[in-house]
Amino acid sequence: MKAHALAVGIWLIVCGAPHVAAAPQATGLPPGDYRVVEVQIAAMPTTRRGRPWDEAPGEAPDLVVKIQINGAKAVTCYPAENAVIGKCRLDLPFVLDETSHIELDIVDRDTVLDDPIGTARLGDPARWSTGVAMPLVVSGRLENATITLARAPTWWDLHRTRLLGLGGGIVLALGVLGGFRRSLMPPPPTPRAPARCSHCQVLLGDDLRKCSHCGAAQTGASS
Amino acid sequence: MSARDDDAIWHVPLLIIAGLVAIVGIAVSVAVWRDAIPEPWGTGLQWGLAGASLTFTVARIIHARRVGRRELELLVVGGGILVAHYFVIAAAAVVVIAVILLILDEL
Repeated sequence: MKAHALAVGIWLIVCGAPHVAAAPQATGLPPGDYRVVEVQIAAMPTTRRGRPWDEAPGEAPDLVVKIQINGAKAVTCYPAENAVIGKCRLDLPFVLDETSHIELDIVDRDTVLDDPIGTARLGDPARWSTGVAMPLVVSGRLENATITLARAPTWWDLHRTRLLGLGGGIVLALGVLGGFRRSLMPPPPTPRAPARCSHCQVLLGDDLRKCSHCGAAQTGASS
Repeated sequence: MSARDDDAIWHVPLLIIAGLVAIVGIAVSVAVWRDAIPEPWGTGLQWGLAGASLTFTVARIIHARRVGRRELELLVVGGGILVAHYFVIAAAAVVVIAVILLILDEL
């Protein structure tokens, strides 16, 4: 038994694993519209020569992050100045497909000439996901970089606050109307009592001769 | 009491309430525009007040079975508050004109 297992092990090492028709690898996220919502980077505190990025007193770099999506320049963000750690909150839409990739180019902004700090790349969209900070492959004087994606907002996401507010206001108003309907919406005035003969209380219609039936002379309709 | 007094807005509770709610809605809209109220709450409150004002106005129309000038103006004000988030200048102009007409009508 041991010899059989050993032979299989040697065969696997020498010849490699038997070829198995791999199922088409699905991307971690279905293709579609997404957003970059956050980029976070951490630069090393000194340059490659061990010098500070800037002159004292602000020796930490003034980070600038240039973001490219699928090879096209998307946006440049400016985290807080004079810090080795920078964070950008974004709302950057992009279309995800099987070949998507995101690159960051980070520089230290200077008055005359910007100092390149490093680059970071996120490829292999099969491993991408939303809502988590995904690490990028960094180079240069970058310690790490992460990027967070989110799904493109749906119609409900965009209008939820307004519609809930509108519905709440309408429901509140209907509640007030229902609770105070008698005072807010008084019933229409009752019609005036029909005129009667002041002598015998015979109901008077359009025909004025009715009052003469009881012997009284009608002088006008009583209210 | 003259016919004009009978018809005055101040004697019609539903229109008074609709008008007051609309005024508060205008104030909230301005506050949201000035970022004095945090965005999610401000927009919801703005639309809620506009919806309440429009509901009171529509109830008044249904109850009175007629659409008068004041009802139309209050409908315009409520609609202006609703769209103020999208078209600030246009909505502000419409609301200001409608409020001026409402006030002039009562003078």
